[in-house]
Amino acid sequence: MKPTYVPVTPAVLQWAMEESAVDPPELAERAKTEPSTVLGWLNGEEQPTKTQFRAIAAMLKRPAAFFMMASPPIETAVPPAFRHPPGHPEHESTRAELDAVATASRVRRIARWTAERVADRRWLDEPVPAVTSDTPPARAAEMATSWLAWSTTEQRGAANPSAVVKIVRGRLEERGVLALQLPIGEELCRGFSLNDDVKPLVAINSAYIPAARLFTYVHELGHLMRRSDSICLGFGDTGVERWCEQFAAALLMPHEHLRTRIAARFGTGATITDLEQVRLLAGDFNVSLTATAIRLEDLNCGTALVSQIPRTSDHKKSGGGRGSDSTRGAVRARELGEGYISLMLAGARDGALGRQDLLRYLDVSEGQLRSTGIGPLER
Amino acid sequence: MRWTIDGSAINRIATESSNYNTAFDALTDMIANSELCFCDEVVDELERTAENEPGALWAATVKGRRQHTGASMTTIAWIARNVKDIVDPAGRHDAMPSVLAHAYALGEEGQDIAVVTEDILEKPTRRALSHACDELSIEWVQVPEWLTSCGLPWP
Repeated sequence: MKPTYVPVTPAVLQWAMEESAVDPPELAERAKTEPSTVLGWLNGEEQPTKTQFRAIAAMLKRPAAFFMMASPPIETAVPPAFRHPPGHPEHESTRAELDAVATASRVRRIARWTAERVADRRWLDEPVPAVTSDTPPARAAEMATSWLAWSTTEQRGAANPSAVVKIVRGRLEERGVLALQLPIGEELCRGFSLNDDVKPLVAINSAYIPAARLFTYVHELGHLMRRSDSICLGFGDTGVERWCEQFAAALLMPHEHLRTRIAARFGTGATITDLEQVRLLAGDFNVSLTATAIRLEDLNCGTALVSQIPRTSDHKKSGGGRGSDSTRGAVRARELGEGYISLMLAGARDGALGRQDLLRYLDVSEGQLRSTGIGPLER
Repeated sequence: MRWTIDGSAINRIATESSNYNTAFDALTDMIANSELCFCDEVVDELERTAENEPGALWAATVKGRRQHTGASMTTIAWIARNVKDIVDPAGRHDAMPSVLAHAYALGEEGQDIAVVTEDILEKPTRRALSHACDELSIEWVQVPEWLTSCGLPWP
């Protein structure tokens, strides 16, 4: 039987491959063909069979009709600076990172559109105060502490870092910030932020432990205060990253509180020198070892601490998270966050979004909408 | 008149009809009589948006009895290239362009065709199916009017 060929548009295929950081050999492997055949698709000399086409659409995560459009979209979902983050000239963003940013860009676009229709003006009316590169991190932390109604006592009194993560995520969402938690993979970016005048977004990598995620949420808030987009790979890579790091540390471990804890544990003016001391202080504030070590060194309360922290200390233990609901609805609820979900439900209730649109934008089924706490939704 | 139905309409029948079994039984007869059809992409979309729900189960059950299962790739390509803003670039499971192409192809065959859909609202990711139908002069109808016109109870 003669195979059916699919008339893909070469420029659109090229665009989709670049957006997902997929090269011809990778696509060829997925489509069970040769790289030269993929090059033939890209220069318009050949067309994929239906079977190959299904593999292309699945790998590049696009609908079939997309590849047949006359031309690629004008907009790119991933800010150009995210492909080669400042401070990391050697780093080429991975497929997992680009997929996460593309997901977040779509979420922001849908949320912004919906917010305008349901009159969600929380960020418009009361955005986090803007700062410049000249604003001292500690001053910015005071401004953010007030805006978030943050309490160090509440933070320290929480049962564990997960509980603090919930609090900070909730506070951001209450103030109109989209707060996503996406699986981006170990050793990859800790988080990123997408600035917007209606629906700014912060996303953190769920491959890290809760204490590290907490620090990243606050770090990304620092980027929003600077009104910039940013993808954050490690610690202190650039002046901006260093500023956000100091900002997050100042908010989560205010100077006086930290000095008080050092005095209570080790004596007034004690210098912190070993990892066990760092661990105790990190526990006091429900933050990560790395963040604590950085803060102690910044305040000259300790020396050579960061170098003692195991490289993988912020990574989740393998097998962690067992017992949590892994159904698609529950996973989507954790990833997208209450802020986005409640906005989508409000959009559906107000008639701005159709029911099928709601399901598409949450990527859940009717049953999952009802059973995972996302719904139910009255028609 | 022949109808092609999309996932939003099937889902609405499943979630709002006071007796969806009766409604789907009648639709099954219409499928068998070649009065009603839906494209393969609708089945795929329903597996995502109505997994194990009555609408998806009905579509999966009757899909083998359809006389028409969708437009050719050439027609889908024509639609994607010539009808503005109908593709949601990241809407991986969105059947809309295929539904429109299916209706267009049946119309080109000279059939008196209409689309049954609830996809009538402007949206952030693409235009509504009803608006695209208007552009191509394809009739469309929402579920309550359609079922009533077919002599079926609603809700």
